Amino acid sequence: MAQQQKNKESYVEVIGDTVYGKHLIATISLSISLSLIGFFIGKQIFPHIAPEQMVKSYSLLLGIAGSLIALLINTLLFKPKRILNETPNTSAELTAVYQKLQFDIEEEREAILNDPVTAQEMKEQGIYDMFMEEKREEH
Amino acid sequence: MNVLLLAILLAIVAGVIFTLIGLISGSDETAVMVPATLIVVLLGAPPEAVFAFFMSAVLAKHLTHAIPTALMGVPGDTTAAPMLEHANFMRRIGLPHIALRKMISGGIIGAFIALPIALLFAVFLSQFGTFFQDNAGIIFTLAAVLIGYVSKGRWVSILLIVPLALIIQGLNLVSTSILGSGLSISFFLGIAIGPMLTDILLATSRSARPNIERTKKNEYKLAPEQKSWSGYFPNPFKVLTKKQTAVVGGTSFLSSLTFALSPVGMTSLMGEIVGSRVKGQYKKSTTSLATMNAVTESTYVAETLIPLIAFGIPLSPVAIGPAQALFNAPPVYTTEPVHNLHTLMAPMDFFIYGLIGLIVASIIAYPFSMNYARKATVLVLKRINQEAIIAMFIGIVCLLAFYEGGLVAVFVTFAMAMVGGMLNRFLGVGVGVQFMVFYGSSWIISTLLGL
Repeated sequence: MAQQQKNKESYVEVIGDTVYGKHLIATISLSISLSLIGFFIGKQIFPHIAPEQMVKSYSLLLGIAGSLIALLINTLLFKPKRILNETPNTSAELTAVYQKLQFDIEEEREAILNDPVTAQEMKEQGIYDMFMEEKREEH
Repeated sequence: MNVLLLAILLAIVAGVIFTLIGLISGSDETAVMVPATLIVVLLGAPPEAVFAFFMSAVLAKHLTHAIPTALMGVPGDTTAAPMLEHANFMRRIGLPHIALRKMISGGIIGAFIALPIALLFAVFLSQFGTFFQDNAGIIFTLAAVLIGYVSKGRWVSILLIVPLALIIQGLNLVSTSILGSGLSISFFLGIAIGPMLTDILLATSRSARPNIERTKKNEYKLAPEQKSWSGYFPNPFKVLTKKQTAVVGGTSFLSSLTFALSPVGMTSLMGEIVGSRVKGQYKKSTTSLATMNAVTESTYVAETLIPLIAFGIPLSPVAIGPAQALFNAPPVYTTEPVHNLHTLMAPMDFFIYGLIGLIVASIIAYPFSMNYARKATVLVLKRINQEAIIAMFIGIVCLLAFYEGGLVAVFVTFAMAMVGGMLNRFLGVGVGVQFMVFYGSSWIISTLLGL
């Protein structure tokens, strides 16, 4: 296979997330196999125990069960290829963030001060000071 | 079993499953909703229960898809894309949890407004129902042209309508001559998984692989939650300010009257209109987010209900996408002749069972998203690998195709996915255009080429 040459880790992006090619082949194979196996088993056993018109539907359900088992096994088998970065945003950075995003923090403060409903909401959420605090520092 | 009981039961199943699916970012609605609804239909659930299942699934998924959108800046699905800008602002200032609460509180209000409004409008429109049914072929073709024109591809979408129709009819002819009957589920499953399959195909091609090759793992930033919710079941009217509630109500009402526009388009349009009138970035973002999520919800409900009740043929972007199986799930439901929820349910049934679906989903998904958004996101990101999710979709699609027409149908599905996916990826011929062409193809080919 062409992939044998690639020893160093490289990922491919499939619908917006990084995956490892070989793992993808394994998970898809398992999922298709278990789904279809479930369906076939159903078609073998249900004619003996279920009314005839329901055989196909019940078999389908067994196939779905197969794909769910595959999902479980696949989840346990491989680790996700994602990095989770939990960066905290401190209130001191707010002005900088506004500048970076090209918003005017002064205008924002004015808007909040002129709107008691928003100001009240911010106080309730405990974020009012984060917007206002720095104003005092600047003066 | 009693229909009412079964409807509640299926709505609960949908609520739980789709609350979890919503957490998975990028889970395409059509690719997820169509197979799930199909399963319920094919298993022989009564139409009322199928409808309750669908409504519950839609609301639950939309409420939780706000989670990746707000917390990670990754759109939960396509309809969440217009919300990214404001969501990202809220994330940058460290308040993604507030963005999230505004979004889902708007969403839940929007859904409940849309149900009665869309229903009344649909009943009004139903007098034109036979006209639409009799001229379905030409209407779908015109819709393909119209959607094609506004899609990313624009002229290429219009240019390829006839060739694509020929491919679909050609494939159908092959399957008809082997199986003795045509295929349907396999085609739209193929269209739905096209984009996913294209990525996988690119990965297997030596020349194309560099396009999607990455040297680093994807990185997700997740801001810490600053304040947790007290109490389990929050009141959406208290999360929004009075003005926000009014705006949410108004835009939901308006968007419930539309059924032909794309939900994404409506969402960004309403968001823009509302946002441009608000001063102060914090207020602008929170108000826009609440409005936009409400509009996604109400257009979704309206675009399902209106074509379903008024016409019986899938004549809206949602109806040809996620809601497709309510119209066409052969052999149970068909559009030619119209034998589906349109003929099987009265308008009042739509209201009652729709309401059941919405209430059940609200009870399950709303408090869950409000309380456990962050924990759930971390769990999904850390524990569930993307490979397993992709594999499950492909497995289920193979299963459903096999169910419809054995090995022939599996190959037809992948042939359709290959063509549709490539057209979508490289030429911008959207999934909506492809569905419209699929429905119009038999008319196009018989009229133009005399099949």
